[in-house]
Amino acid sequence: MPDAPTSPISSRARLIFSPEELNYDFGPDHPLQARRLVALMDLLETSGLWQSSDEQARLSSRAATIEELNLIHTSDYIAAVQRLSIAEGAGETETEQRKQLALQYGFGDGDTPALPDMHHVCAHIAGGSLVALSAVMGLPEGGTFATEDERPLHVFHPAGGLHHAWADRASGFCIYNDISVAIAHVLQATEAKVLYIDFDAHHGDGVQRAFYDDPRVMTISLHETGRYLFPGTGDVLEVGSGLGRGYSVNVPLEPFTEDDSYIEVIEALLHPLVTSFAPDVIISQHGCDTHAWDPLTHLKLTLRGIQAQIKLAHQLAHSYCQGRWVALGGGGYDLFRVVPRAWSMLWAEMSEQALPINLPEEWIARWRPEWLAVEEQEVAAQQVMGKISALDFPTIFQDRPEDFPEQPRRLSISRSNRHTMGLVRHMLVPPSVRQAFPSAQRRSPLAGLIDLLHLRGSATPSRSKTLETKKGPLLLRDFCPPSLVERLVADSGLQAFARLPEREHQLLLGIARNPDCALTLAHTPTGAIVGEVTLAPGDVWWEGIENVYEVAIEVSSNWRGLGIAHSLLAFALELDALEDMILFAMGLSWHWDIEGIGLSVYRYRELIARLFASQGFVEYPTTEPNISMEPANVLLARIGSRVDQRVVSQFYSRMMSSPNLARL
Amino acid sequence: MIVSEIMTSKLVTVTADDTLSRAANLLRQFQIHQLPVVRHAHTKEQGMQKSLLLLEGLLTSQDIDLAMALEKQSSSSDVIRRPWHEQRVVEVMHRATIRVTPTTSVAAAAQVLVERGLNCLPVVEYEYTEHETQTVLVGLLTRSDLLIALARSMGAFEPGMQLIITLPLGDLTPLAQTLLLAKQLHVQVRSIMATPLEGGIPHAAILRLGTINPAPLLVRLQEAKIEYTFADPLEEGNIHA
Repeated sequence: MPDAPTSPISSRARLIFSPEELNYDFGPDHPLQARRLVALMDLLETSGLWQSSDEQARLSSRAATIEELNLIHTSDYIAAVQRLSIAEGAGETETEQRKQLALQYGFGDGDTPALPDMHHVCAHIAGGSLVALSAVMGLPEGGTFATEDERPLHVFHPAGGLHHAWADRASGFCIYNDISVAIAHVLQATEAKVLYIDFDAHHGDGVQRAFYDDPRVMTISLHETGRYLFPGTGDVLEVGSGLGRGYSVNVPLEPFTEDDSYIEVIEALLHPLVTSFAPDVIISQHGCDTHAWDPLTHLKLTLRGIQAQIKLAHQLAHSYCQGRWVALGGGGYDLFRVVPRAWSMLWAEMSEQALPINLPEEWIARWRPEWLAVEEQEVAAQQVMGKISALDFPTIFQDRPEDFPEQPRRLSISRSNRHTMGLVRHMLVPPSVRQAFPSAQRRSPLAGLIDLLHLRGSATPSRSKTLETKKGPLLLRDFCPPSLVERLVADSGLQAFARLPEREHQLLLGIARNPDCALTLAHTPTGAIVGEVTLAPGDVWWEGIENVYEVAIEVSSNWRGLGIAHSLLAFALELDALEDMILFAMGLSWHWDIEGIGLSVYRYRELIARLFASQGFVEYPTTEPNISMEPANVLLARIGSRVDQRVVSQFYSRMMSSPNLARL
Repeated sequence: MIVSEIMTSKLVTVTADDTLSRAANLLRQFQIHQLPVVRHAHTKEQGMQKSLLLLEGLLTSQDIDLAMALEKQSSSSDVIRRPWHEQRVVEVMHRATIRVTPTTSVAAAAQVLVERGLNCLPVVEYEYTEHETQTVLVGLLTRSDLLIALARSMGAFEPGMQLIITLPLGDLTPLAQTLLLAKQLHVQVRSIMATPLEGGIPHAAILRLGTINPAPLLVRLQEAKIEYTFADPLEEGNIHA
């Protein structure tokens, strides 16, 4: 649902490319070669998607300064890169020292060999990403523009995306982490929150490390599981540390994942995650080594999946960040058949141009021979990774479905991915946001229950009650229909879950529309929502147990300490069917407004336990992964007196079941 | 591997005279489950003042739980008994007589932990001064330390990919060949684990390789007919029991 762009988009998308960046080349025997960028630029020009002479579609870049690199990289690492950049001097001690340096800083293996002049080249790439992000954020480093309308909204920097570099080490073909440098610059210069989405087949470990404890940067990485693949990290349980807990999101996909499963995962996860974070800008890394022809990974996407990913990033930028979006390149080792087409697609989407059907003939004539020269090597590498072997050179932009035979075990792969998705949803999306984005497959078989019990949506009005508080009267309403929520606005202090009141209102609307959920609101006579209780069927973890509902509650920070939570909860739970239901609430310490209330997490925990205890909720120990992750978290449940004993014991055993989701 | 390589040496401690309330606060604040109880001593060594931590005992969160539970049970007429948080550490601590030294092997320490059902072991050195033996606390070895050591020895903290080499009948030749090939191809080996499962013979070696580009090595392994596992398209995912 992108908002309509206010100005012609053609002038608002720009591309950064400088010939300097072509020197980032590890030589003919290395998987990463700058020829892929030459092929990309050639394809963009010959297909008329981008002209190097068009000033309006180009953004000039510069090298990053040492101070800028220093935002992420340690001084000794930068010094070592500079030292290894210059040609080797004579002498044995010199050779020995260089060897020592190379080993210490990650240049000691075949992956990331030291290149002549690499400091300069990598600083240039880091500078490109920094300029790109600064430009969309309106910072002076992004260049000056005649009018605000000329300032680019989207920038594409195909040479960027070097996400494996650590603060003090080169790793996985990456030397300076251009992404982290660009983000760190924006963090320093503005108060913005930055969302980083990593679509590369490898885990974006360098960027995640750089901002692991920073709540202003959410990193989302979708990658092939690290069970076998480099860099081995990126488990769902890596969720950030300290204040940044809950701001690192990892979605490890099964090897041999195909388009349908991939699209299902990204569409179900990205919207709720982005809603809950409410970023000011999106920076995405579009490594296309996820493709079925890529010789370095096991993922098996086609350009259909990659296009869905690109479109989604574009859509998210417009729905959540007023269009501010920087896209970067990244991995992609089928240099001539996949990389140019995938990233042309990205540029076409960004600049809102229609993609032609056929690849230009002159382009094919130029690049097919280059591919033929390396074909044999590539086929061998693909086969060894368990992928289908090569067909001919493509002649159209899109992939033809018939070239990609169905993967054996497709079902079990997509089922595993669905588990991962459920786990991520469960652990990292706050309960109320989750309920606003019901997952399509998981519509509860008991969805009709609430309707049956309460005649929702019919002419019967929901109950209402007036509550007198010291700050004035409040109206409590249960089973709020969407039409009511539309007429109300969210109070400015209502932001625990979506972090922005307007967004919270959207969420509430989503919950009101969701037939599975019941929404109880407290609002002022003037129509400001100051509190909410949601009641919805339990998530994946509780699947299969009858009548299990999750309760979530929030009160605006402007209306705390007035006993609203108690009254609202009591009111919401005045249900005829209360004794037939198992209700539970999850207290996750990373969602708590600790600073706002000025309590320690443990006091807050007690507060929540007391609040729910007033309605007969009792604290239970559980192995539920979310709760057991952090000692302050708490599971509170209320088991109705008429609930069948069999269901109760099912519930108990589920609470303590082993957390690997094996029963699914 | 010896204990001093993996133990925790930055310690949070209490003294025997501290109250349980202080101890409980420390346990919470640092999110730990045991506190060594120490006495501070000063010795003069070649004219230099040296401060030592002498081990008195160990206080665990279970001891505090027990103190609280006892208080709840005791009848209201029991006026002598103080509330749990006013009790002194010395009243509930253990003497912690099972200890290890920094040079104890990790394997032996792990066995002690498991066999005695302990969660941690104080690491001590004995100093002979002024005609008496003093027990100086130098560290604490917890189950977490052992787990971290295990993860580290599997190479988990270094970026890398995992390859499993099959060793038929415990024959180490395929492993040796693989290592040679890795050397030739400039592939760094981050860690090697060949764990004996039965009869003391390892049947597979788990290698963590510091490369993002496994294909050249895998091609060479296939040419050399070395059996390996690296995400097989037909292999059933291990999520399904």
